[in-house]
Amino acid sequence: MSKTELLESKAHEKILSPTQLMINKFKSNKLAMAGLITFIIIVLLIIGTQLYIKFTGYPLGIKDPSVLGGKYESPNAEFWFGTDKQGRNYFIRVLAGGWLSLLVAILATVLQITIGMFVGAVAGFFGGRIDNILMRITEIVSSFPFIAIAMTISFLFIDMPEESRLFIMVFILGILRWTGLARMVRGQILSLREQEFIVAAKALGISTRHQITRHLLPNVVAYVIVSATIGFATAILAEATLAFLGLSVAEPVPTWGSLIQRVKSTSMGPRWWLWVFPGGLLVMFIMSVNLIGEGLRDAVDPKAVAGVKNKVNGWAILAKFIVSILLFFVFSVFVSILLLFVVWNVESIYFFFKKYVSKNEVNANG
Amino acid sequence: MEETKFTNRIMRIIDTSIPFLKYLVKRLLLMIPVIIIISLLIFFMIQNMPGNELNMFFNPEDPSLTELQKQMLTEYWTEKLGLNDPFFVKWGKWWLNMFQGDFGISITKQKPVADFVGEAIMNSFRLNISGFILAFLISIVVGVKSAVKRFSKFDNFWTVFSIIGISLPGFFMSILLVFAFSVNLGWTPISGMQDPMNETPAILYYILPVTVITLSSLASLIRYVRNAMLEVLKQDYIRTARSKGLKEKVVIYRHAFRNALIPVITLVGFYIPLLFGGSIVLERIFVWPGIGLLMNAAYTGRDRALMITMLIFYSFLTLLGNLFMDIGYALADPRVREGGER
Repeated sequence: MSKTELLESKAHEKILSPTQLMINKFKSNKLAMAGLITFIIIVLLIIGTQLYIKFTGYPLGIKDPSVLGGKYESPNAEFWFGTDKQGRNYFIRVLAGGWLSLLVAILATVLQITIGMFVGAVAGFFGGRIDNILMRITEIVSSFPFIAIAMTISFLFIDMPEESRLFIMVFILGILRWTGLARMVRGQILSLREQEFIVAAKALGISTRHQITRHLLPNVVAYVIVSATIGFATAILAEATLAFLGLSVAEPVPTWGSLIQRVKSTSMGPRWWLWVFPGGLLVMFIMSVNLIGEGLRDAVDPKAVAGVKNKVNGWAILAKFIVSILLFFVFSVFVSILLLFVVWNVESIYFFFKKYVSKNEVNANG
Repeated sequence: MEETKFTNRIMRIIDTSIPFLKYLVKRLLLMIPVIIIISLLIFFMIQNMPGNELNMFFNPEDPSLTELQKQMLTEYWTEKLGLNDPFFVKWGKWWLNMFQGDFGISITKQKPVADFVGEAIMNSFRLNISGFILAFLISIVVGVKSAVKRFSKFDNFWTVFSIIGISLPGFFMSILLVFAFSVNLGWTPISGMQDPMNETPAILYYILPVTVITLSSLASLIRYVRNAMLEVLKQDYIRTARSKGLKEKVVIYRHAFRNALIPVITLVGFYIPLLFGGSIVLERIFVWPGIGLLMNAAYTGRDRALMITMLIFYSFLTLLGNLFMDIGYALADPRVREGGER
């Protein structure tokens, strides 16, 4: 076989980029795909409900007789998840509770990643004394007992207005949970730093900032995404646990943890819908995120067994198309909702800061 | 001849143990600033708690008190609690008191903290140790087996099991178990540690909390053991052992399992101090009179002395856990104690 023939015979073989390989591996993982689909469905439900609440001005707390049912109605055609003690629609309350978990988890994960990546990258790149100091700080933060310290911080701000407690939750989860990520990023960068392409980058006189951001961090991103997914799941879990202890956002805004907290052993059997629905959704949500994380971890790990290559057929392409549209939709809705949330709550954020500042002034004067 | 052999051996032992001792001393010295900083932070947080500490000891709005009495009470308690001291003086005094076994007076229990904390620690320990032993035994057996039979039905079952276990919050698992076994079937009591009338045997009270502890730690432990075992099975010496024609059982239990146990034992070191601290959520649900329940009581009663003791206690346990884990790593891996990479 001549050289050109060989080239021609290879011409129809697609060369896959590492990212493409990862995506293929992820897609062939059935459990991970099931997790992704569950995740998307739950997120869509939560966002839909939230939009409905915002645009119709649905009252979560105020007793508006037009939307209320009887006291403790079991699930029926009108109230899918039944009603609670005040006769409020439990379906809307449960899904509105998910919104808070989602928001807290997203913001906390962003905070975790920012701190963790920054600390890890700086410590790993500079080494020496900076590394020593940063790792000491990491060690101190990681030896805080999580729930106990979270309880204390949350208790410190117990007199704060309700709107700002969301940010306190984000702060607690973000500030206490970045250490694992920082250690991982540092380890990765320590081993990458010795490789030829960084030596080349140094020799070319590329600035330190660009060495870190352009050459080192992109090599770590895959691992960061995996650990962010797991971090997202633990953030939801931690928020639910703190809410269960009564330390998250309080009534009338529901969260999954605080909805489950209200169940008593006497009412467990007869009023099962009060804890089965929020608990079930919570578990499904965390599980779907964990499954996605597992799938991503296997996809990123080059040593993991590669999945069987998919046979191409029309249905698969259609499914891919739908999934990608959904993903795009979810992403854009995510971003716009986050923006809208900030815009809607500008007033309360402003008042929070104003109150806080004026409080301090009073303290300073008195 | 014999003597030189003996001294040689002793010299070798000393030579190998000196780097380890050096590492140990360094590691212990590094703990001191960490403890100081953690205690400062905790102290700072507790000092800034909402609410006036004086009001915990007497009610200033009490109509039966005259102005003079109120003033005297205020002065007495301010003096006794040292409320006017600067922050660092308070902090130093608190450390001094703690070294003398005085942890302050708990408001909720109206007793010195040192009087009742020991019993709570024992209660938590009894619960944790049973769950811990069960979880480790099961996870070692299951983890090794699923690593050996990778991707089999057995392995797949436990993989799914551990994903569910990781995703199930402890409080929800407890509620499910209480619903199934206490409310529906009525086999076990709903909460508490002992029957006040001594009618039901005490073991029944242990079943549900121990199950929750076991299940929730089982999930991550199984994966840990499985990964450790898989890592060992990949090694060259396992292939050598197989190619020598050893029986599969010997390969797995004598060659692979022993080496896979090293990281597992390191993990045990991490867990042992934590056995003395109770789970805050679990003990609240089952009303188990341990450390976790005390922590809850401290927050509902805004009990500063108790809170500070508990927080320091929990941080100390976590620190000890990290220390034991590092020592375990150093014992297992000579590279760590030679000070190359840390």
